[in-house]
Amino acid sequence: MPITPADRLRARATALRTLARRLQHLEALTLASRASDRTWVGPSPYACEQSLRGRRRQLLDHVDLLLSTARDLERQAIELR
Amino acid sequence: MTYLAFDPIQVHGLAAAMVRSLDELWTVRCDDPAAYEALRTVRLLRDEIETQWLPLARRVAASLSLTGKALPADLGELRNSLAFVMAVGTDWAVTDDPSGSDLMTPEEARALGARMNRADAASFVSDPAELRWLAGRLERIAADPVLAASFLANFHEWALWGDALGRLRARIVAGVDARTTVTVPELDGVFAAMAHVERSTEPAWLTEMNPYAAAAMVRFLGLHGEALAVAADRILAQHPITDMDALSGPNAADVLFPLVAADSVASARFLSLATRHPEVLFDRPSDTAAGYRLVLHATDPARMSAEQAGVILPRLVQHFATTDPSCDEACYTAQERPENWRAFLVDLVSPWMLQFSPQNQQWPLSNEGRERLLSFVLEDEASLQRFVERADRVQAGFVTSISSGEEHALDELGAFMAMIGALIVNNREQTSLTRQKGWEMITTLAGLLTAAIPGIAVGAGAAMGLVIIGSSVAPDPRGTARQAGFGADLASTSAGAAVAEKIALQWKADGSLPADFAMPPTADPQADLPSQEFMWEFDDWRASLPGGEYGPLADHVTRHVYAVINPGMMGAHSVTLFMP
Repeated sequence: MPITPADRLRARATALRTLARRLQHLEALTLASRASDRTWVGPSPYACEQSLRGRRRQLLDHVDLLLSTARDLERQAIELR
Repeated sequence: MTYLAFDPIQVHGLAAAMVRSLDELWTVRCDDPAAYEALRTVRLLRDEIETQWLPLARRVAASLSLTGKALPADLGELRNSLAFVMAVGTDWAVTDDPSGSDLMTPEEARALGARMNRADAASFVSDPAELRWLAGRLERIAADPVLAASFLANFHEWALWGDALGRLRARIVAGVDARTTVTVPELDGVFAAMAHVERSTEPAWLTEMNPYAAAAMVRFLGLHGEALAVAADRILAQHPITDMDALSGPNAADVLFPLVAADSVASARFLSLATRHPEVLFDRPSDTAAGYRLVLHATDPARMSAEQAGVILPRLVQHFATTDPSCDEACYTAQERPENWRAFLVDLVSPWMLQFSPQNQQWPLSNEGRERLLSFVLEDEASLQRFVERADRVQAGFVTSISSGEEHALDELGAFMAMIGALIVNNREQTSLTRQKGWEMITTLAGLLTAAIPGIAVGAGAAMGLVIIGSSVAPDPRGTARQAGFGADLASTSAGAAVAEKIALQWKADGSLPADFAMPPTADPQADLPSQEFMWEFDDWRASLPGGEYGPLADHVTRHVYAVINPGMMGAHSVTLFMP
């Protein structure tokens, strides 16, 4: 059975949603709280925590964007039907 | 050396979590182009953990096996407050921070506040390096609201640190601490930084800190107006003598007065507050003249309203007038008044003489009250002499305060001049010099003040005033003593004559009178009753005006002159005016 453009769009949406779920469950997202002042204090620990917290925020923004993009792709697939 | 403190178990756990995270991040993949940015962030995070944060965590964890929990010798420095607090307070381990970073964190701000609460402030402030570091750190805290909130949440020993800084500053300025290597700018740097962190307009430490230290810190709070006045008053109203004030060199009042004087709103409000305890103004500064300068500057009519002056001046004069042998610092014994107080009081009241005159109701004082205060200020010859020398201040105050309506202004001028005359030419013994200068003052004022009356030939006044002076001879007090109130009568007559002259000059200028028409009469200081003599001659002169005695010119000049002299009261001024 031939693969249609709509099928490709849906496949892309699935891949992006899978990646988003994967990112949401990374243990790396917990590193910022582990590196907080409950673990260590000082200039380097503070820099470490701030950096990890920033990356965490970026990753969660990417998750939102990936899920949004996936929805768009699925909508396009429906319109192509 | 910069240190970090850590919980060994937690750091081990963090390092393990980083290792697991790396393994996990390596497995994150996606071929879709829309995933590019997300995967790029994953790579960056992976690289950072691998090259920076995991090595840091491993290095910190490994340090424990090398040094155990031994604390570094220099951990007690303020710069290591955070590590110190955690090591001592929570039994964490300490190791050097490899970054050597000067980063300021909220935790560090909190720890610095906590550390300063318990530190030996006197010891720290005697170390120039610590002072410079602390000033820099506190300025960074002040510049960041998050850091400031963190610091302020913990720090409360403002008085402890302010007093330590202030005590050393006072000793350095007084030259009694030759061994210290600390400089005043280094101490002021911390004062400034602490003030910048404070941000409050009514800090609680104002009344907890030594007044000198509080004054030194207030310089950097950036207070203005009401807030500055209240702060200065609160500082100076308590703890009159402290160890810092006892040292030679500026004291709290010396530090605060220039600040207050530079702000007209603050100075007026400060004086208003200080009238509750006037000794703050005159006994607190190391040089009484500083208090005099502040008061005179603040009470200048250009800066202070008549309403404000009406509250402040009477209280200040009363402060000097009240003497009591068993007096505490709230008043003086007759022998303890500060140096040059009489001259100060004369300078104080000179610009506000109009408000002391009977016709003026700007101040909430009875005529008797005003008379009593003014009599006290001018009760001796030296004061009178100084008053005469202050004609410029009297004139300036009159011009500032005179009513805007022409007739009321003339009425006030008459009463004002009568009062001045009563003060200067009375039946007291006077030197011929004082007498002559007093007479010159009367005639000068008559001319100059008349020129300030709206609608009275402004512009010719000053010149006419000088003409009157040049043609006059001072009255002899022995000849006039028999007639109480002679001075008042003569002065108001001089003012009335000046008004008539100015009107006549104006008529000649606009052609209403021929240029060679006779000028109106002048006041005669040798007459027994100058107003009566003048009015006789004036009646003749006005009858000679074009249109006759009841013509428009005569009516105009009569109305103005009578407003000043008031024929119904001729010779009666003295009854209510200030005769000793």
